[in-house]
Amino acid sequence: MMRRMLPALVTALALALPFAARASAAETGDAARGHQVFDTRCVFCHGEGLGHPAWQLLALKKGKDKAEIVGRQDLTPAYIKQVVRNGFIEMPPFRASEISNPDLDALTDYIVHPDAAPDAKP
Amino acid sequence: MNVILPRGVSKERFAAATSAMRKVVGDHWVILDPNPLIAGYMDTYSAAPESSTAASAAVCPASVEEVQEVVKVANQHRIPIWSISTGKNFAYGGPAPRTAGQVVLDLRRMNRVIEVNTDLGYAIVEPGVGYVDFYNYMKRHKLPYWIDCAANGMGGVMGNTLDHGVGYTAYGDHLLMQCGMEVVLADGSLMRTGMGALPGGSPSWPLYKYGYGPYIDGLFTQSNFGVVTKIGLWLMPEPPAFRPFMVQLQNEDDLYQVTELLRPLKINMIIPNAAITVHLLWEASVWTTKHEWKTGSGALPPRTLRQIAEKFNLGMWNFYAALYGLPEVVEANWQIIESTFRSIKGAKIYREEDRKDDPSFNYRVRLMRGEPNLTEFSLMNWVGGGGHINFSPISPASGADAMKQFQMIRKACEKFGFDYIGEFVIGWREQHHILMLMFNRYDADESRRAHDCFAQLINDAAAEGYGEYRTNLHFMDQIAGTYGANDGALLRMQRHIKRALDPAGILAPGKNGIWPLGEPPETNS
Amino acid sequence: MAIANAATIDATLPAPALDRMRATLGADAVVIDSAALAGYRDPGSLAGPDAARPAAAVMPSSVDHVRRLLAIAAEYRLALWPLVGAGRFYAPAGEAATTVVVDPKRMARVIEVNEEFAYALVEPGVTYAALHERLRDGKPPLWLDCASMATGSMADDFINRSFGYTPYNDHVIMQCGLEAVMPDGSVVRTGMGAMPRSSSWQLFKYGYGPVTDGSFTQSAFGIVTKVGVWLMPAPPACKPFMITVPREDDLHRLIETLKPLKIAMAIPSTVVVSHVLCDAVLAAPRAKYFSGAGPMPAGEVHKIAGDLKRGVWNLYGALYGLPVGIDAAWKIVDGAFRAIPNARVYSADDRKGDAIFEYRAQLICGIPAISASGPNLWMGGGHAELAQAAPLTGDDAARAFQIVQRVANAHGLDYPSAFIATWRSALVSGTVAFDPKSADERKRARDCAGAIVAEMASAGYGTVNAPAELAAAAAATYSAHGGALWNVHRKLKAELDPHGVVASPLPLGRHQA
Repeated sequence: MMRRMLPALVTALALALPFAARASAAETGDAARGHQVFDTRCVFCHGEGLGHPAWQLLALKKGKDKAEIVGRQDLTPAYIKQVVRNGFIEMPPFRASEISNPDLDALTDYIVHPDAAPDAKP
Repeated sequence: MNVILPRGVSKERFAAATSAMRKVVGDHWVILDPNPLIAGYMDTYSAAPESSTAASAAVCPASVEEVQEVVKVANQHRIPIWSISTGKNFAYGGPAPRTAGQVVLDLRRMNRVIEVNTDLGYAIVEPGVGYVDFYNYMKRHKLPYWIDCAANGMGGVMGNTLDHGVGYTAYGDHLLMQCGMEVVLADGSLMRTGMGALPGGSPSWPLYKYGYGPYIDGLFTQSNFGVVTKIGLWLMPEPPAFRPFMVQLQNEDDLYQVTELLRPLKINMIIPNAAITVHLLWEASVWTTKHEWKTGSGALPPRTLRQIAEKFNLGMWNFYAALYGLPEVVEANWQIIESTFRSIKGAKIYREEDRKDDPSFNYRVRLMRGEPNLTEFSLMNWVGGGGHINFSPISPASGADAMKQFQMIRKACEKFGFDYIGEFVIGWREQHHILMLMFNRYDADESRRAHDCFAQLINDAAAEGYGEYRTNLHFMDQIAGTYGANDGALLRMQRHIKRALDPAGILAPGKNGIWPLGEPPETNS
Repeated sequence: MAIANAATIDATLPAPALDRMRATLGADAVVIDSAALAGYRDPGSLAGPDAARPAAAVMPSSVDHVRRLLAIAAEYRLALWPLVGAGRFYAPAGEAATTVVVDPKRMARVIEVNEEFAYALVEPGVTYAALHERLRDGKPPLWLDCASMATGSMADDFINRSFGYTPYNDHVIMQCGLEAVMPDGSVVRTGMGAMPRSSSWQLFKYGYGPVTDGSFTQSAFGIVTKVGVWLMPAPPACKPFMITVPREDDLHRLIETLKPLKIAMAIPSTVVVSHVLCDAVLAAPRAKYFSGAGPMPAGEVHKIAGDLKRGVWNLYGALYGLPVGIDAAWKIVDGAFRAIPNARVYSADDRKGDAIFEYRAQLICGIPAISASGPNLWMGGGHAELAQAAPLTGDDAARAFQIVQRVANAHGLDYPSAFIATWRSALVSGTVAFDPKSADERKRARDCAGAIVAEMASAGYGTVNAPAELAAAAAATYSAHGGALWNVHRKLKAELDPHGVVASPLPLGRHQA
């Protein structure tokens, strides 16, 4: 089954990529908008601490310093988009009808460059 | 490269249909396999192969008019279309259609909160409004009403209501609170029910349910008789007082006593919201995972459960509910609650302030306040691997039924190598028993065991007269079959209704076991 | 062969059909006596006392009887008129000749009362009086929510969606599970009843799949043979109360004050806001108050209010629960209504000897009651009841009242009316009363009622209950989107009842004999 192999492929790809030079904010979108998207779509699982299932899992699997995805240095925009659109094991996919391509760009930018985003309001 | 097509539809006919659909919604919003964006429509949690419910395409209209045109195209070309609202019906199939090849009609782009009337306490929403967005809308506009959300905060207000989902405030029976409905019928025509059928509309559409003649709103829930494009919903005014609480029960057998004590509290509306008795491991999943206690499959033994309970200060059962209303009434009812639960040996009662840093209590409190969250997803980490299907039988709200259900389901879980992770949600006079069957999808053997466990449970439950209220795509036919009294009279009537309203059988064939009359069910391997 | 019934025999039904019915039900369960058949009509209806009688009446005593009757009807191109649901018999002469009334009197068992789970399962013929009798002495005690007189049928009020007065007032919400025989002979049990061995039929409303119960209300897709209903546990205390205001235009303020209390469910009962004439109807016929023709002048209305010691508008509601809860809620309710200039607030003690209050208080506290008089006695026995739905706002109440009064007065009639507030809306409920023996009066009444239906619909207030003679007109007002809704109703009817064997006044389509 093609899609079952996907997570393994994606992991392999991610490991294969060099620690890419970070793309600039201008290339990947608006981080402020990205913060907003994160707060309405992602924070429930990816917020910090127990009660946030993705944080909980990442803390277990990769250690607490990798549990928070925002600001992590090893996640490339391409990888983030791949995971959002396809899901990843426990994480469901997010369709273009719910996170548009521009919003996905912005979200990715925020995750990679959170400092570029002032506090967002939902 | 595999191009998935609907059953019995030629490549040419499919191309003609999708081409016509593109003219309606724009090229960008018809997603055809093998476009990678089609991955967003897979069922990523069920035990069966994803390919068995892989959509051939997804179409994303932005308006009712576009929905009508798309449905007309589908009707004309006889293409099956499966509508989703937010597509987050996890454990039941998510955004995926019942069978491979159906076209998903993704209504997520229709995401307006059309109206919230604070004078009369109602909202009218489109299919794509999710709980998070609805909640944020209320907060942004500082509206003095609470929403009622499902445990899955990503869920859709409309989708959850139409699938008979429940929430955790006093307005938790979502379908009961629904008032007014707009439907696109299989021929693409538009209909509004109740007062909405008065020319020029009526201010009573979201206020009075019934109109004149048959009350048919219920026909468009858990079915495939039309595509719902708007619903009205009654909203709960912010209560003057709100007191959530938790009761920790020490022994598994306490389930009997607590259920018996709860029944009169529920029927007399002392507790107006869902009264939920949750097994240890459900809460434990917020704190820990199975692998921290046991490697390999097989259920955790009782002594390990005791260790987990002790470590995280949880009961073998943990009960949650809340009081709502005037402060004097809440205070008076609290006396009843305290004396009721103190009669259970070893029970410990906690108020919100007693367990401030407890995320497993905290998320329940938030749900009882209508605040969406996804903490319940911690269950996904219990064994990991993304497998998750819900078995949800209904039984009378009695201690005997609760114990019988618990033992029957746990026995089956253990036989197939799974932990029992369940909760009993007492509603009006019944309880919804929800089993979270968690498994590793990437392990073929484990997936098969999960599937087989579920299939056996359906039969075990039916033998005792217990039926499920909602289900996963792969079990829709089997469960429909258990509701077969009087030679399948109910399903036969449903299939006749199907023929009347969708003679070409294009809308969500197979949803809840309803196939076009005369067509045998498509079977999945 | 010997025929059990009395002399006059109408030969409208084919003898083989009658024979089959007698063989199936027993000869004494098939009625063809003219006088007896006339009794199935309402002599006070818009159609009058000489309207067509049904061709026969049958009294099945089992589900199997009903199945076999439906088969006989299909075979002989007859239609069955279930009194429970379709109401008192009404049909144009051509149809009446091939219509057989289904009288529920032999299907009147209270099948089950379960005090522990607070529900009952009843057959169609069960009256409030009968169920009340069965509930007496039950433990824990359960209340009955009566949507009509003690002699009314619980099943009929569910099917017609009539509201009662206690917190369990919405009989569709409180219904749980039903059984119906379909024209094809299928015996459908909805919800959990479709699962053999289920013990949750009266406990969980939705079952699995589409919820079809509502489709059997105000409908003719099958014949309902059992209805499950949730019953309210008797609360520790019940406090009925009454608010009066002296002037007609106080209505606006009264409803605006009520609105937030209903939305927050602070007053959980049905709240009836009754015009004094509507109260007067409950006490005596019109002639006792006023012998003039035409609509009652304002002076007379005020005089009646004075004589009956009430306002021009009178609000009735109740609080329930623990005394401490009632006291807390009462502070709010009392405070809110006292703020209305010239409003007066009464508790039960203040209204001793007020028979109208006592009648309403009984209903609101779960006791079947019978009033001294009623709409069918107001003016010579003719009565046409109507109800439209409106938002619970002062503006809507004032506007709706203005419309119905204007239309009624233009036809030279009173229209005793009340606002019935339940959940999130108000029903504007009224009666056109007339002398049914006068063809002119019947016509005037029918014109008046028809005009009310039409004008209220134009204003966005749709009719939700109407007499049989106006069913088609009421349905026709729901014509938005090219009549899509009733097209759907008719498609369902054509599919589920292709031979038109289940009759009803609703315009669902009927097989022509």
